[in-house]
Amino acid sequence: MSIRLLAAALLTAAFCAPAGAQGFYVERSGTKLLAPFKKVVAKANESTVRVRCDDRDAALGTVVTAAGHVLTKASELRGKVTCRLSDGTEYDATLVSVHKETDLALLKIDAEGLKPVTFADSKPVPVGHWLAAAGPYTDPVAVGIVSVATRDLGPREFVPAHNSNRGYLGVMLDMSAKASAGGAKITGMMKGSSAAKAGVKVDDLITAVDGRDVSGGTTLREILDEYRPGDTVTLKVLRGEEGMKLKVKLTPPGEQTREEVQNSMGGELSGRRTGFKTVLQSDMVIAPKDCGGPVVDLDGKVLGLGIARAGRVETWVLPAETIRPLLADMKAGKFAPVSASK
Amino acid sequence: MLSRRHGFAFGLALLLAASPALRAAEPKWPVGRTTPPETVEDLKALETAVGAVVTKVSPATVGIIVRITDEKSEAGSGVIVSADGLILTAGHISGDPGRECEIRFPNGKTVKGKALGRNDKVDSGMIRITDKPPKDGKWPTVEVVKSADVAKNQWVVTLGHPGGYRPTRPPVARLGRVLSNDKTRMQTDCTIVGGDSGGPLFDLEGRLIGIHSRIGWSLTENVHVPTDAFKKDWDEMLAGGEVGQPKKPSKAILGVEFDEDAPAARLANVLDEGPAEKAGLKGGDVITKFDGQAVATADAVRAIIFKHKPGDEVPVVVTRADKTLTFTVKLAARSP
Repeated sequence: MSIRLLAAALLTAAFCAPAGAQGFYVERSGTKLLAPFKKVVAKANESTVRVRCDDRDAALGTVVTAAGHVLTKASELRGKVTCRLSDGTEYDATLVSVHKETDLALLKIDAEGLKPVTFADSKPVPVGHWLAAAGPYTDPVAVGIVSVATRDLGPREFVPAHNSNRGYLGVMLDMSAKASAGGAKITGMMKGSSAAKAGVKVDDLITAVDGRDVSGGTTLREILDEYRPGDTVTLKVLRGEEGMKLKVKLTPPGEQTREEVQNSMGGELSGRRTGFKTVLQSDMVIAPKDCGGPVVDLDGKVLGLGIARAGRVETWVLPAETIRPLLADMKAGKFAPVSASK
Repeated sequence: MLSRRHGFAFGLALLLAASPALRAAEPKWPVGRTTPPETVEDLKALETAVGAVVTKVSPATVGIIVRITDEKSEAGSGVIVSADGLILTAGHISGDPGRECEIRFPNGKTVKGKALGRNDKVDSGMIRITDKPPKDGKWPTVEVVKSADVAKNQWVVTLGHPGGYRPTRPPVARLGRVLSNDKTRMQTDCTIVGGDSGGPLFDLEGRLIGIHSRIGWSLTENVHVPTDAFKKDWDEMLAGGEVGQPKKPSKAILGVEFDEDAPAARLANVLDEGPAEKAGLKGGDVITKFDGQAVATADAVRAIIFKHKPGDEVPVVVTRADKTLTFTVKLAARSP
């Protein structure tokens, strides 16, 4: 099956999961093509660690100090976080800082003598230049070209940060400022709403999720960003004078626009793929679980971090120019981490 | 503003790459090479070629916006191929001949355009810029070459406006290889998505070889209309013609359902009270002659019906259980 590529019109569609990107990796990142890149990523690979959460590969990490500071993709972190080095040793990681705007998290592991990256400027690197995403072993995890040189996203391009892979209650919320007092008010139910099935009703006020207070629609969404479809949450609900607790199993989003459907054709996307102000856009295919590692040009210069698999045709690199000024503050723990695990 | 700054930066990079001292150090990537780069030097030659292509062809790569209603619009891409403003795009972007659209240039300039012809089957389309040309009288263009000369595994560059034109983003470049190439369909692993439709596919000299059309589930299923398919219908499309099967339903109807799996024009059913039933045709009949012309397929019958008006009386010869029967059918009007 193939579909024609009209954009921007809304279309409700129920498609099954994509078949996966195997073919592309063979064409694009097959052994033959990757061979000349081994030299290119050799140095950056030494600064790349595998970040694991609850014993599963969650992201890559970029070593930024010899003493064990590692940058990674914050929104992929859940539960118990460890870093595995290329020699196989695995360290427990402490979360030092989370910078929400860039989705960067700074981890600290109790290791010494690590090889930190040196960030170079990404802006001078023009369209067409090769990029390689470093990995924890000898190959890059992806290669591709600069599709659009480092740019600030304009108002028509910038989409506020949210986690698209989060779990959904299937409710409409009162998002007005005056409503944000004491809870999130339900103004409507979506078709097939998991909350409705669990007994939640229109006009209910959700005051807490799993014991965390909800002050309004915005905080409820922020909390739910950390959950995935299939997770079960306990809602504290106020209905008139009556308080109650309801268990809801979260679902994936019910309806997708035509644009969302097309972008999902070709493999999994990062949950957090919006909210970045400045990006370098590449056609390389970094899998969501391989984001957070260094991205280099053919000279091995570290231009930034692979921060999001953002669509069928694009992976976004967070430019070194954005990362560098944040490092000192992050090391000092300036951006207090919100609890990454629930 | 941003894209202008980018343009300047590319220009500079090109200038450096073109200087004799550097050219000696950097071997050129042969446009027809079908093997992967084997060394870092190969990779550098390839990226230099890609950068030069993008600089050369971006000015002629445009965004196309079609307003469907006040609230709804659809977005695609296109590329200018003649200095007087002829744009090649996908047939599903240009739409019905005469349909108006807006053309957006990478530098932000907006002009008006009008659809010429298309071939809906292969998804090729043409648009003519209707605004006055720039001061020098010429729109920026790209060169069109024969797509049959493009080899499998040759490296190619895609440009376009994924998701639709964005004022703060120049045309988006993607690199890949040709996976298959025939007369009406070229497939690459240059990833494309909605909004890229109608956008250009180039060889590494920056010559147009295809126009983006559609995608499949995998990242290697990116389908382009080869330039040879455009050339085949060129004059007819330029004159505003709809090549291939007409998309609009015929005005006259026969009142039958064809058996689409049959190798002949075999009727699956005749509609109650329809023209065919009234004339005496039955389900299972195979039409062998329609309006005096021998027909071997349902499409052949449809093509003849398309030329008729409601009320026309048409002789129909059918085979029914080894018998040859002749009827006269009075075609009816399609109910609105």
